[in-house]
Amino acid sequence: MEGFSLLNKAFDSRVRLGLMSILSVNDWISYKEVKNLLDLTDGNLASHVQALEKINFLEIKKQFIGKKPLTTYRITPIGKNAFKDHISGLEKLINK
Amino acid sequence: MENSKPEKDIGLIKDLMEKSSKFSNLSGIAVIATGFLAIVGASLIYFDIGISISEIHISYAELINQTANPDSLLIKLKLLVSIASLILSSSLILLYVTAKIKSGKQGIKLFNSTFSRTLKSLFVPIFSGGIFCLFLLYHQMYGLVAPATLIFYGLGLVSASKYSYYELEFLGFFELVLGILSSYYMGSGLLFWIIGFGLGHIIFGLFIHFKYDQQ
Repeated sequence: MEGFSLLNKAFDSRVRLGLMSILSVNDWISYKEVKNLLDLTDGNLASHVQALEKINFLEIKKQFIGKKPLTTYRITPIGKNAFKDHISGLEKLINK
Repeated sequence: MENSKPEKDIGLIKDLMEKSSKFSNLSGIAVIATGFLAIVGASLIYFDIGISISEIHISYAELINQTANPDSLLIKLKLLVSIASLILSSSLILLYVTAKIKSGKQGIKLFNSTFSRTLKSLFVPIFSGGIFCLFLLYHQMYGLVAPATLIFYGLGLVSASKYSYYELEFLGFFELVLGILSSYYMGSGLLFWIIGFGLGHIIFGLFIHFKYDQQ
């Protein structure tokens, strides 16, 4: 089964899959926006973000806007390729 | 990986890509209000008016055929341009403020990349069209101003629809068709304007309101 080999274990979780979908079509995007788009509660997102950062699929930027901390994320080229492969894997499975 | 459901996953991916990359913070009510503003403005100009806002009585037909005293024409023209700019700027402010409130409620920054892409695709045609219209005024081709605003606005909407509500495309084509028609029926330019900017926005606003804002 060719499709399976393209699938990436990193995207098993729906949160990570959703997170990557959002990052793949955006430039730097804030924690709050991602949280709202995925309909998550605080803290839920952080562990998934860290897991994806560990394998270099996304980068994190922390900065201050005035006194407010602002965390933003962006997909890396490695992450983008992995995600593309994952999508083609899914498509192959559907069209088998 | 046995329990992954490819169809569902693809569905989720598509859904999130669309939601996160499209500007969808327009307030339907505000769009409806801009429609009414446009109708009020255009009627003031068209009927010049029972409520006479200027001492000079020149009909739209006289204006575009330039069959009146040149000095009066100029004053009239300035009045038209000021009414139009007033309507335009108040509509933009209204849309901006309501979009800001709406995105604040969703915890989203209004000025994200989606919003700037929407603005860019909308305003490149509109801005060039605006300059073009100023030259139409300069060359005294008054009759073509109303059709040109409809055409360029329509083009802007069609291109903005890629980054925003896809229904904007319908509104865009509607404005385009009206603009082209009114280029032929030049004397009725303002009526087409009322249909396009007034009625078009009211219908589109109602649509946005009931389809998206209610949720």
